[in-house]
Amino acid sequence: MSARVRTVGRVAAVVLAASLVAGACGSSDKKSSGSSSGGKVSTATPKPGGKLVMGVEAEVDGFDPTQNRMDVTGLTYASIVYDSLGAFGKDGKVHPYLAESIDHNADYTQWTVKLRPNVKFSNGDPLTADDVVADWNAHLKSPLTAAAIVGYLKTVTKVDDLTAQFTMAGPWVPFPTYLTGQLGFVFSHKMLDDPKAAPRNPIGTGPFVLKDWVPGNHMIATKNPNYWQKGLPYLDSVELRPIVETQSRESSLRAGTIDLMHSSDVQTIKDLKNSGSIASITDEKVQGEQEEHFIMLNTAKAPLDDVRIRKALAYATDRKRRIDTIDFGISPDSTGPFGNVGSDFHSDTTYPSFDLAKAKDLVKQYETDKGVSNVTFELGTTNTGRNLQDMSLIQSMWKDAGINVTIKQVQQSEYILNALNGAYQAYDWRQFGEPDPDADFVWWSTKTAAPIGQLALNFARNNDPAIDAALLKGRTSADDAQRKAAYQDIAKRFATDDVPYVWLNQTIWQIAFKPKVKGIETWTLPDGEAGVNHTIGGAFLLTHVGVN
Amino acid sequence: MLRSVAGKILYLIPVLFAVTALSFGMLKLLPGDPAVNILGPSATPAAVKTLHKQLGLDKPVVSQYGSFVWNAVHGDLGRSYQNNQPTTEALKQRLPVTLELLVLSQFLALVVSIPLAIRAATKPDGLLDRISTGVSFGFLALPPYIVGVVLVLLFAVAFHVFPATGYTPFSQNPVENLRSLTLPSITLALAELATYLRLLRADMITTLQEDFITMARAKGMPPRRILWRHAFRPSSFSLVTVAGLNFGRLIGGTFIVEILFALPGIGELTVQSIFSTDYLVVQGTVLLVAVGYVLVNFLVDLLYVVIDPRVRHAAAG
Repeated sequence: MSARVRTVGRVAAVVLAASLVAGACGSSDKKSSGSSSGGKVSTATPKPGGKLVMGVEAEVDGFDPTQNRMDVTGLTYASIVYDSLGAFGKDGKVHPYLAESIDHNADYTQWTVKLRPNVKFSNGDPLTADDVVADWNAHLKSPLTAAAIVGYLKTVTKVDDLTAQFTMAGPWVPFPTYLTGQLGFVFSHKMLDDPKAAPRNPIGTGPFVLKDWVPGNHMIATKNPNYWQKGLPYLDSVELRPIVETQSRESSLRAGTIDLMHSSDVQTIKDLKNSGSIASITDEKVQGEQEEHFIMLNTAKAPLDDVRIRKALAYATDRKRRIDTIDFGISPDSTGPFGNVGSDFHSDTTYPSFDLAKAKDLVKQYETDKGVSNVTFELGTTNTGRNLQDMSLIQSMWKDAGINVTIKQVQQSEYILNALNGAYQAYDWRQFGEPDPDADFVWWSTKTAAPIGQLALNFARNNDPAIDAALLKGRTSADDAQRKAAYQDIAKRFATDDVPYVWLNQTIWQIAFKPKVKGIETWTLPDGEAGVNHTIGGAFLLTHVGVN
Repeated sequence: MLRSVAGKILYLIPVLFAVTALSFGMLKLLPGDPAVNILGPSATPAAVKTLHKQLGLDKPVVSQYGSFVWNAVHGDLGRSYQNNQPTTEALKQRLPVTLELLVLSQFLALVVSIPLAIRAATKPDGLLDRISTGVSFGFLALPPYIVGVVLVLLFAVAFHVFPATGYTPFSQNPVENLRSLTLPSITLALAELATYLRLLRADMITTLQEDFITMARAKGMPPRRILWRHAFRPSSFSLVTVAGLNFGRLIGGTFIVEILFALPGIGELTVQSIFSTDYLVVQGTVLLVAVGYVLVNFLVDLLYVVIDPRVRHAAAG
């Protein structure tokens, strides 16, 4: 029914706000860009004034970065009222944004963030290091956001009125990527005084100030007259409208009811890509780690605790046929967590290609060893017709290999709980869309692979010390080549040794807009580097956009 | 008559008791601890304990029910665990949208179906009767999510006459308000229109064969007066009953229509709250809808007294 519900297991946001890191690029030096299509994307500089209405896929639960889940929509809402300390440039690096500088010591165990002077919050208070220190100490205690940093970030202290120091438990090279998203948004320490009111009363330094928010209807924000970036924002006001039904969002854009929208629904992407009156960009060729669609296997439950069955499933899945049938041939193929299109971390993972004979052989070996005559298990997905159609096709492919699965559709909230508790065998899932794979630490580490019945963020419960070692190398190495090799090792371990995921396709996010919307791909960061408006996952920054 | 009304009010009491008890019991029927369901898997024991206290889950069930009804009567239905908004505030924001949608769709359905049905009944199997029968069966067969999409494609995307989605409050801009609710109201009204048309047509045909109608004709009364004054009133008994009962079905329809047209009404709130397991809000919406349904049917009962002299005289006797 909706993109949100179809987004099976986009738990990154729901459970832990995996979008703690936001951006569009990996930590490489390669240029990154979105892919544009449909009507022409204007490169004209926007003119000041006007109002933009954006249709978003869901409502948010609030504006408090320590309490509220900032998924794709949440990041878009938050970036209206807050600024992040850092932002990704098209060079793939994190650049200072609300921060004037982001520096580290020789061994990357300390990071120093210096704030811009004379920046004011929407309540008139000056921005100081006290706010950054209070924000991060609240994050360290937050049940929502702490998991990504606790244990690795030791302390955050004030050096002077405009400088904060982050002390790590060990070297943390990609730490600046955490300054770009949910954790990086700076909010007034006064919001922490009243946690109940904070989600509805944001106090930020962002380009707009919240004027009216009626959950389920609209969020209206007006231009911040004291914004620290002179000449910005271009728009006088922005209105975000949650339009859950994907088809309705598309119709609204075509009818001119809204000016801009995001979507990950393949039907909509296909329709709007070919529209002459609508311009669009997608994140399919953006650097970093694109979100993947896969079947997540519970490696702690029989028969999926046997790698032969997991490999047999990979061999039995005809990805091309599935993409052509279900995704209209639009979604890019995927053979690992880093997709197959633009990511610097991608390599040939030697992930099994479709080979029914090999799949049958592995099933036979398993049956002989275990003395069983039938391999069966339950394949879960959420309650939509489209997901059922998708899983039915996979069911038939696996049946050809001698593996019989029954499909069970589960309510989204229960679905995530089941994954956390290990109360599933195989789940249709979408995850791992991060600008830097370091953010996947909590999803892949053995430290978060608790036994069944206990909460585990390593949902597949894949216990592989080699992956731990590679994750640590990726976090501590300052050499880009070494980091790249470490993450490529992980992708290969997943592909050939562990097989906790049966990869299906790379997810695409599209930003579609009316031709009058300008400034979509033209944005210069404060230090002069070209910035990226759109991020992996469809979040969108409206600071540099205008309508004329 | 007053005694009759008082009797009906007395009947309301057990019904409202049942409605509030069921709404209250909804949270109790959830598997596991409601506090854990609300707070999620990462809830600390301290948070669960605090919520138990807030929800009164540490008290006996009867006491909990008493507090629930007392708080509900005083406008306190708890807070959303999604955005901390008081449930009553959310309902206050959403109720006008749904009410306006319901009233407009009922109005459209009645204003089109009544003249058509009366006209069709005067010439059964005539051209108008056959066309209206065929078209109304067509509308009846079409689910709202198909009708809505077709209307949007035609009147929003192709001709840009109405907005595809969204809602403008009446107080902000009355014209935009009507524009934003036109397509959703038509979507809801079409199926109702067909039902009312078929029902009233059949009753009118029966009534027009009654002796008192023959008598009126014999006395030379104008046909228009016979139809509207003498035939329509007794024929509308079933129509009023069905219109009242349809209130519940229409609310079901708003769940789909409000999602389709992105209207911030009670239906949309309920669906989103179910998806996000915001149980206290779901409980609040269910209570509101159930009480509303009971009250509308109570009003329909009262309306019988007004439109049917037999009921009025029986009540007086």
